[in-house]
Amino acid sequence: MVLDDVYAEPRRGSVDQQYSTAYGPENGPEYGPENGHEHAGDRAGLSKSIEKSLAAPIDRLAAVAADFILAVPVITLVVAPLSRRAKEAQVLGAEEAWLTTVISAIALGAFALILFQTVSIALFGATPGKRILKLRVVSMWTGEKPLPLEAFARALVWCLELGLLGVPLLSVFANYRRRPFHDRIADTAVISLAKARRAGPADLPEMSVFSGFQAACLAVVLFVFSVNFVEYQQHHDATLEATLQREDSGRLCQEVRDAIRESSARKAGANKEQKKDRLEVALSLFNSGTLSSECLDSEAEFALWREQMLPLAYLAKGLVAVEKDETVGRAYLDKACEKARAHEQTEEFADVCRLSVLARAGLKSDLENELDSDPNEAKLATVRREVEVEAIFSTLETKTKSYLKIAAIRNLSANGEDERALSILNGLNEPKSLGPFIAGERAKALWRLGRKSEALAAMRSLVALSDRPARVETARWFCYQETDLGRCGIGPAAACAELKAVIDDDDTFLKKADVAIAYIRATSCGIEKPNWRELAGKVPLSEAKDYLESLALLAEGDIETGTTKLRTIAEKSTSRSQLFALEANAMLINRTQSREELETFKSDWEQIKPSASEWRILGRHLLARMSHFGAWDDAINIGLRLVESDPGDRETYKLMISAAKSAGKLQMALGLLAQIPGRKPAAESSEEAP
Amino acid sequence: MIFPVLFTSLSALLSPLRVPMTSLLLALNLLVFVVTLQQFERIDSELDTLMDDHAFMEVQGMAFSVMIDREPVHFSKFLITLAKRALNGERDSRRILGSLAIRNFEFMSRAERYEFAGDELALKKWRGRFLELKALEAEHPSYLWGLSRSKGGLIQYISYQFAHSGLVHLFWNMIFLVIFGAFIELNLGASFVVLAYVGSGVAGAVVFSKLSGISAAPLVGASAAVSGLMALVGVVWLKKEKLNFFFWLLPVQGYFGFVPLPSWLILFVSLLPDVSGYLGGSFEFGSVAHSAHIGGAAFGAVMGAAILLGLLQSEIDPALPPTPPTRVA
Repeated sequence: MVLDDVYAEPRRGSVDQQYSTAYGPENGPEYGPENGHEHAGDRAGLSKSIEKSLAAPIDRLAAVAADFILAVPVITLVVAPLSRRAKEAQVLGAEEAWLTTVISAIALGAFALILFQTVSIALFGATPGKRILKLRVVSMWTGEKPLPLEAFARALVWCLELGLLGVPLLSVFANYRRRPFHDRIADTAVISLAKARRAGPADLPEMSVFSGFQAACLAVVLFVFSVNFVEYQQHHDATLEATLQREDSGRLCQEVRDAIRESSARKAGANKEQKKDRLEVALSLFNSGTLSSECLDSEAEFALWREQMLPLAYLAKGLVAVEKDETVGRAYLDKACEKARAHEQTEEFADVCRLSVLARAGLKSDLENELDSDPNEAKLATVRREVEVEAIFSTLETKTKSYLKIAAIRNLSANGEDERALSILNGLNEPKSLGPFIAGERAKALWRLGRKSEALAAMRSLVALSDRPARVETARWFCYQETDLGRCGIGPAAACAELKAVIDDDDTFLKKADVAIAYIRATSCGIEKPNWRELAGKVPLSEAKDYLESLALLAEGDIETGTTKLRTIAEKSTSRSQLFALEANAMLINRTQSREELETFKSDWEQIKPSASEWRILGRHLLARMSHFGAWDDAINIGLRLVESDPGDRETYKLMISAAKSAGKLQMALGLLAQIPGRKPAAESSEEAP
Repeated sequence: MIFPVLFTSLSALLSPLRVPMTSLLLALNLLVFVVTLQQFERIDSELDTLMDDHAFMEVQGMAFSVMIDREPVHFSKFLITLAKRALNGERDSRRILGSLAIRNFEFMSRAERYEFAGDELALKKWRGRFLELKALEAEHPSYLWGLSRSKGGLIQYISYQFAHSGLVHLFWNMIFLVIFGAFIELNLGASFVVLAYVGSGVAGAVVFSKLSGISAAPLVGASAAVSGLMALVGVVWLKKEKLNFFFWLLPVQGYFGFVPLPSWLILFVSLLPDVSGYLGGSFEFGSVAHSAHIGGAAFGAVMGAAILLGLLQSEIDPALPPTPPTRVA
């Protein structure tokens, strides 16, 4: 056993005597460079003695293990205060502080280790672990314990070697005298006093194998360190930037901060004023679609927990919550109103209540509940709501705060009140961040009013604003509206030209299902015959590929397979495939060959809830197709149901007017014409529908 | 590693009647664990569900932040910094504070009736779940047996030593209780085991309350008592024969085994890490009560010194040498 003789009869005499015993008295006269010897290794006697006495690598490793058992508790104690700081910095996410503390702890630990080794070896020629294993560190010059400076150099380099994951220490196998770099730099070697455990010098096979292995390990370690260092640098730069932003504005949103900065020149005021603006700006951006729900939620929480602008904060929370859970959203919207009424009786907070009512008016669950209950009650509720909403619109139009104006614009546009929306848009003077929204809404409002050349010009102004996502969204909207019901021609071609231009420049937008659908429609209206299979290769969405495959089959004349494929697509119900399902359904309706075939689609349509968006879109397709087969009354009835649920639906009115005229019901046609929302009683634009 | 192994203790375990007091202490610990196990697991499972509710933890964190922001004098700098970040919108800080709130006596005792300002709807929902949390804690064995701010009577200073937070916690404490308890009982007598165990446990709790402060999270475990037993052996055997230690340097024949070593090494391997742990740990989120171990070890050391000085006489003839260490090849 290794420690058999640990408690044997203690050796008498000095350490030097112990070494002399190991080497024998034949060492001879003084040696060293002053006597013309280049190196103690030149002196055959001492060198050979040391070589014969070299410690086995396994003993050296065991000695290191023993040293760690004894040193680690002490070193842990030394670095303990830094350890606490590092843990706290880590929890706080203070990366710089954590790194500094960790580096300090490592440096302190290394210092303690170096001190431990230096003192042990300088005083006793061995660390406690080496003493247990009966090993000694000897100078190659003298055969005795090394000088303090040599011991220090040895300890320092040993620590550095340990830092390289101990790979350089493999030189105990690769070096003839089993001397890693720390031994070579200090001119020392490690010998064993236990004769039976001496290993002697390394032989050639051992040295060859381990030299190669050591070089390979070192290369891998250095490579891994370099990669980690580069990754750390990149991560560090990104983290630093994020940290700086966070320090500047907490976890709040960059977009809001930028928008405030833009308008700060116009609004000089105290800090409170700026904080007030913050939530209002966030609401403006959210209403315009340029701020995410998460950002608005953060801004709202910031205000709520600091008891600032409570009615507005609850409103913001409500607008965010309704997207995920209408019940929760309704609770917040009601709270906003409650706070507005109770908190401060100002006009400003009264507006919050108005917006809360508007937001609640659009809740699907409320609409569905009403429709499920007494239909007469539902109608009354709808009328009451419309009156209330109209009153709110009228009030909002006169407001000066941008988030109220934007809310008014969105709601007026949704209800077909485009003239009023346009008048507010023309008067808006908002920061750059809202520019794309204003330009896009102007373009859409003008298009809906039939002022298409102005609409296209407004859309092109988005190019100047260089907001590509806004350009794509507006161009998509235009193209989709113009190609609705399978329309092609000069108008649709002009509307889709912008979309095509943007996609040709950057087809990554085709990842979005709605953009892909508009692009497919634009392609089908092109002058050249579309190559659907080629387009399938360009569009990354699997649903789009399936849809394009079915179009290709139909174009190639394989009607049965193409139609079957369309039916399969029409039955899918995931959120992304729903858009393609809708498109496939519309295509199937437009390809019906008889009125009887159309009746099947009509009865399916009647099963859909009117609050669902596909109900309206498919309803319009049915209306158009019914007219195509001459079923004018059915067409008009469908149309009346559509406009009853959405009085702002001009397109449906136009289709009904066309059907009424074709049926010879001119009075009805005139009546419908008068009901088109936002229509001026004076001369109509020549670009309007028939 | 090195690990004290007292063979006399292990052999005594084969006939527990030889060490009745140690066996009794072991049995008491096991009994408490077994009796409370089912309840422990049920309540722990429900607590885990609560802790996994991110929304609940975030709102709790925000509520805690509001309290800290209003009354910073009651809280540490670390918590004040976290609270500022949470109020600034950092979600991670909120969740961390939500967990830390459960350990904070100020919060747990006052939150039920505190007038928090903030998201009233979220707070209303949170309050319901918070009351659930409090009800679960009131039934939890660790809170019933352990030492906490809400239950800090004299009986808890003793009962906490017999409650454990899990099987692993119990296992390791019992291993050391058996090794050192049996050794002390065989060499010094049964009353010494009881005095050392209970005295160290109480001393550990006292030191814990002074150095770390008793919190809302209960202190449980026999570690302080066991530290006292270890320190007692470490001190009393300083002048006696060496003790057997198991050492393990390398997984190679000849580099692991048993060796007689001085008893002060027990203090070195057990006490030093506790001091490091105390100095290096953060009270807010540490789970090991190092200061309790230090307190227990201090009591054991003082008791050992009293024995060496003759102030305490062993029941067993003090003139007789202890059983010599067994060497294993």
